Amino acid sequence: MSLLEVRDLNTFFRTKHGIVKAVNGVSYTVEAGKTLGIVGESGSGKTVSAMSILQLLDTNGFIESGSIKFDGRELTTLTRREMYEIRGNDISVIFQEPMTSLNPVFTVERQVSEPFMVHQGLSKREAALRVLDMLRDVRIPNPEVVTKQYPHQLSGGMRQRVMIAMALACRPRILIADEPSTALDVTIQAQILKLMNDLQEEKGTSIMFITHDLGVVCQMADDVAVMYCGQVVEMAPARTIFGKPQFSHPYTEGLLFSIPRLDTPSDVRLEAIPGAVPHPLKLPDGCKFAPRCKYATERCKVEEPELVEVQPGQGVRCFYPDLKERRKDG
Amino acid sequence: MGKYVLKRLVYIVIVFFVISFLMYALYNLIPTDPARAQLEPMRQQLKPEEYIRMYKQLRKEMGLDDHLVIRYARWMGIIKGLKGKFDGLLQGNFGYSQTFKKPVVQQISEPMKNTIFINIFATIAALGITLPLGVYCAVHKGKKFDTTVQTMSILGYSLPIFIISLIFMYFFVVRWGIFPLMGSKTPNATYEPGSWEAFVDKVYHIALPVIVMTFASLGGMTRYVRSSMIEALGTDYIRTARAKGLREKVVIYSHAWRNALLPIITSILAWFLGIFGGSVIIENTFSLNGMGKLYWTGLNTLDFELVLAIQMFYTVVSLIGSLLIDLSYGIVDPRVRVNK
Ligand SMILES: Nc1ncnc2c1ncn2[C@@H]1O[C@H](COP(=O)(O)OP(=O)(O)O)[C@@H](O)[C@H]1O
Ligand code: SF4
Ligand SMILES: [Mg+2]
Repeated sequence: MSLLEVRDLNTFFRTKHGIVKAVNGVSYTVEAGKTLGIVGESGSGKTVSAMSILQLLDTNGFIESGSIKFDGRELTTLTRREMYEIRGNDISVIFQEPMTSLNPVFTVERQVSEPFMVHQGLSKREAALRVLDMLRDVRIPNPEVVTKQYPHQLSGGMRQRVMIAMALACRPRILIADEPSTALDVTIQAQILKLMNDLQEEKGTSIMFITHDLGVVCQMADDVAVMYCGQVVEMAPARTIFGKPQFSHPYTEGLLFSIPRLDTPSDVRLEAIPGAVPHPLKLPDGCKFAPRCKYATERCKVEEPELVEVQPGQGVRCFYPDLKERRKDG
Repeated sequence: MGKYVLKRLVYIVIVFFVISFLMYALYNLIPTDPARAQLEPMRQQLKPEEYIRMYKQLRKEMGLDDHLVIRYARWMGIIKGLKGKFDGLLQGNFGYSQTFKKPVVQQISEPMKNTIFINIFATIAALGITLPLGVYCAVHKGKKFDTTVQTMSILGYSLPIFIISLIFMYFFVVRWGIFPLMGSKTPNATYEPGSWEAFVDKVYHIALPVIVMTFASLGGMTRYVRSSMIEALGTDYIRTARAKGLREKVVIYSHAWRNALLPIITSILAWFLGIFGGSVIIENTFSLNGMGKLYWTGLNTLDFELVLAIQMFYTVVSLIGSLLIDLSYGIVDPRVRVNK
């Protein structure tokens, strides 16, 4: 049994202009001790699908249908009170913006203490000691000083370390990392990613790693879910996607082309996928990727493909998943 | 924090002197002549040359021909006055009221007490209502209760204060007879000044003005508290707080409230001064013996020293207000208090 199983999740938002179907029949699984990478362009529903797990949606959002099983336990039907026990305890999150994700008026100590106090019932003093341990765990130099500081006194990288310390405080089974390094500059980003890999090895935490950068996924993930327009368009082990795959979704193929590699000659322009993500209220009939797909046929415009298992462990939502055949035809 | 407090204090002192000088200079533009006023009764008995000589003499004695800066310094009590000792504002001498023919200090002490009393009452009442109401509306944004309050607050906030006064007077005084129409105490009352009865009588008289002033400031303040709280509740760190598994109560009243407080504190000063401003109108409407009413009288009779003293009272009130605000800001916001 997988640690986390999301099945046919539909998460919608009520807006003035109608129902936005942000997540549309998404399924994925996170295995114990492994990292699932969720990748896709901005607006593809990555954050919404992750926030659905913890029921931290904006007030106009709701889970229309679907099942989310954590360690065999259905989360979508839990009460508010039961959900409090899960958040920050069994499943934690770190967010994209380290600059705004910490409360500016509280010290690091106060903020990192809170999970210990609410979930483990520690006193303020006991929690403060555990905070120092956590800050050491995330390799923050001078934890005794930092713990008394306020967020505005720390750099972006330091703040993100504090966020990680806070998220890992109660040794959660799953850490949801929503673009944790996107807002940081490249060297800091590399340090944070390495830290997360090290901590995963030390503590055995499963990670759900959300990013729009396939290059980062390659570095972090064991399994990959590629999302587009609120759907999973491809699900496969990372080594399949980054190896020499026989099957692949055209969208994944496009994303792969746009990763800079060490062996990319500097005069070759990276080929970004042409066109833009469709507006969530004006989704095309048929395959959602058809307007941007270079292999699209008449069939793609009217009929929507299912996610089909093309080989054990790999699913692709495309009528023409076989790379060789597609290229020959296309 | 110590350094921050010291900085604010120095700043306040500088502002006090700058403003008081500007006020002094400004009111000196009023074409009044105390020397002439004093000689006027003798005018008939004197020959014109004699009159002119005495007039010039008197001007000199009164120091009216000295430079503006000298006169200001004397008035403030920074340099020795005409009688050879420090005797100015800083020493508690607020000048002499030509209208009432007595020292300004005597004239303003009662109205000052009344004004401070009603304003502090009105501010506390307004905060006591608007803070919880605004927070409640923010947390239940878009629900029926919230939209009702929003609609009513627009109404309250677009009505001018004298209209509100008239409406309240009509109901509370004319229709229901709960409160007296005007004045600060019952005429011909026989209690000792300073006794419990005197206090009760005073509260009875200022109740309606305080209710009107409170009511007039509800709309704007509720809307402001509500929007500050909504903004705080929509931030990333609130999402972080929820993701930690904190109870919604803790998220709202600890994490969001501490942050919503920052803009609110800044605007409390403006409210407080706005309430003071409104009290000028209220005191006149209800014939209350307050600073606003006295100020009005002073302006109408060109009573230079009286008006200036009242103006300085308002200045000091706003400076103390702003000092308190700065200090509370420093307590609430570490970004102000703690340097990098
Ligand atoms: N509160 C909301 N109201 C309406 N639409 C929303 C809301 N939050 C997200 N969405 C929509 O859901 C879609 C997916 O958003 P998101 O999950 O944040 O994308 P990603 O994280 O992949 O960049 C977007 O089209 C976005 O417009
Ligand atoms: S189904 Fe057609 S349009 Fe959709 S991805 Fe496959 S080839 Fe492209
Ligand atoms: Mg996102």
